[in-house]
Amino acid sequence: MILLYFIAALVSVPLLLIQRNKKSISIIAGFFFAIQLTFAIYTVLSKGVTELHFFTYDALGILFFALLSVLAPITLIHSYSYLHEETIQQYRLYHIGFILLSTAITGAYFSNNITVSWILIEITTLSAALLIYHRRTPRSLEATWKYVFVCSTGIAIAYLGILFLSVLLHGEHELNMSYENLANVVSNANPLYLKLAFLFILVGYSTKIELFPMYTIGIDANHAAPSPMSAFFSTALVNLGFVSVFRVVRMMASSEIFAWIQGVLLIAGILSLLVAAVYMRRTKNAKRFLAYSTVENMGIVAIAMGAGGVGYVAAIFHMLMHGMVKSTAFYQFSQVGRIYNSYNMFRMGRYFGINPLGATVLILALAGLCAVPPSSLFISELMTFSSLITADRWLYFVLATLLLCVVIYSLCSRLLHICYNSSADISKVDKSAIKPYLTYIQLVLILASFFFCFYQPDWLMSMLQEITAVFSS
Amino acid sequence: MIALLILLFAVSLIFFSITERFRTYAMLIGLQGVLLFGISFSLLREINTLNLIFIVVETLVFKALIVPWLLYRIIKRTKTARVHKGALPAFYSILLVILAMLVSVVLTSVLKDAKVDSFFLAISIFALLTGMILITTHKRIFSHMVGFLVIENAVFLFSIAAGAEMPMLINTAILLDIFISVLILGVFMTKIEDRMHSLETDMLTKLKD
Repeated sequence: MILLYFIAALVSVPLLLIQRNKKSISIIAGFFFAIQLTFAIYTVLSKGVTELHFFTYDALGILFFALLSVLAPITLIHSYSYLHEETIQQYRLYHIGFILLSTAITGAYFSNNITVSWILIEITTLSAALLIYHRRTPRSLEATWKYVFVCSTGIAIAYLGILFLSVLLHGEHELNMSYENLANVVSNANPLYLKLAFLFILVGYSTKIELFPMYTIGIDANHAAPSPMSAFFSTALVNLGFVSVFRVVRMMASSEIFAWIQGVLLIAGILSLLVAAVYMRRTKNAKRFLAYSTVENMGIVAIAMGAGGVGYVAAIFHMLMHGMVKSTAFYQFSQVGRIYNSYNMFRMGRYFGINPLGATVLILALAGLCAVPPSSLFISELMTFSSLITADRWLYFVLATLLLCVVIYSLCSRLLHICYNSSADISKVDKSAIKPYLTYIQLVLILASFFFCFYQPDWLMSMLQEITAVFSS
Repeated sequence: MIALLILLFAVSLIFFSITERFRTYAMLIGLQGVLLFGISFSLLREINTLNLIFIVVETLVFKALIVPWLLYRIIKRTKTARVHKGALPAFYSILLVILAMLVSVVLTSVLKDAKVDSFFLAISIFALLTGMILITTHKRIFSHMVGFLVIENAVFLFSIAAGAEMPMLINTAILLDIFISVLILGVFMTKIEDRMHSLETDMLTKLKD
């Protein structure tokens, strides 16, 4: 089935290239994402099956692919309100980039081989570049250059890490770089090589997961990319970075350097929180603000993995819920940006008066991002902090709490400013940019995420337990 | 023979710190491509047609021909012949590169493992550090690109140091990496020059908080 999915993507691209009107492009893209949704259902029904040797429908891949399959059509619908001034060429390339990105991410979610994952991650860099360059302005050109250059350098460094891992398999007739095979050899491996491999891979993949140290490139990409695509980058692409890092962490679970890995993750998490806390106070741009919020959330996820215990479940749950909350926030900001004709948050205000429904979504997203009930992120952050206490990591507990206070203050002050600032000049506000049907979709998405705060279904919890079982064995 | 080729590769890395002319950079990148071909060809235990095609395409076609040709084209088009005036003086560059060499020797002795060829490992770490020095101490995008290409060569050399018969997957990965570098060179650098009329990193400051 995954072969058919890849073929569908490969057929869609030349088909899109020959289309001469926007409607037919939209139909082809819609058809592709319908196939993707069908494929998602198939993966759920075929759990555990391996196809094309390199792709296994495991619980981790299924969960994140299911989320992607829901978010991709929503992103497509939001894109149509964004893409009305585009030339046919821009319109075509946007859809091609989106389909290629979505396909590469899907392949990487299910990849059971570290080299195949790396190749697909490299392909996401190319397809994302196509989308960041969409506007063809000096700003988008700068962002694309930086994205391709830094990501490629980062990914090359990650590849060095993979080569360090390949040394462990020295002597094998056929170099089997599957995660499973590598997990079998790490327990007797040279610890120094393992440490270097992990460091290189973490640094390289931090370009995708938007974690310290190479988080900056994600911020610039979110800033310059079309707003609906920023939502997709901050969820599906960031989730890809997480899945890739998580698979490596899980692979190393039986190695003697595992405690050291947890220490590295804790430090990376705290530094990401620090960066987010500082820059969320500084930035005026709404999209950069949300991108720094992603860095903050990735910091929490890294801390959860570093703390261990229930933290692993918390990390995956947090990523899934963050995907729903953050995409809602980005979709709404896409509308806000068009209404005010600017992404400068200091020029915005009285949003409740202009668009009450949109402002309601914004306030709900604020609650979601602050992780206060009914936000589902409350559950994952509660688990994260309890795992820190259980692991006696009091210093990290205190630091994370203090930094989160700054982040929450920034979130509240900026988003409430947009909703209630009465001194804002709203004479140039474009009310025609208000699209209630998009706001209703966002409302459904955020309420769906809140549902998981009150009820975590058994199937979800058992999948999470299955994914993290290796840590408790 | 292999020792001589790898030694020449190390000398080419030192040359990067001495030279200030972009034409020499392009020539050194081409030379490294030829040397990498020589090294990987000499190490082939058996002539496998597909493996040989991969090696020829990766090293001779891309690294030794297409990439230097693209670099020359950019130099001609942008009329930027030398590194930025504000770049680190050659004397300090040499000091940095010598330091990088020492660090790579120390790291290699720490990382010594029977499964890895120490000589290859030392030079690949040296190449990695040289690439990073080029990126961090230079202001022109062209130098950054050359730094990236040197890092790619370091990765290629390390894949040989790892001693494995490079399977198809690793070859594909390396080829993809090279393809991206060609794309960056061919598309983005030209576009940046066209739009911004400069290849200075100082011009790339439109994205800020």
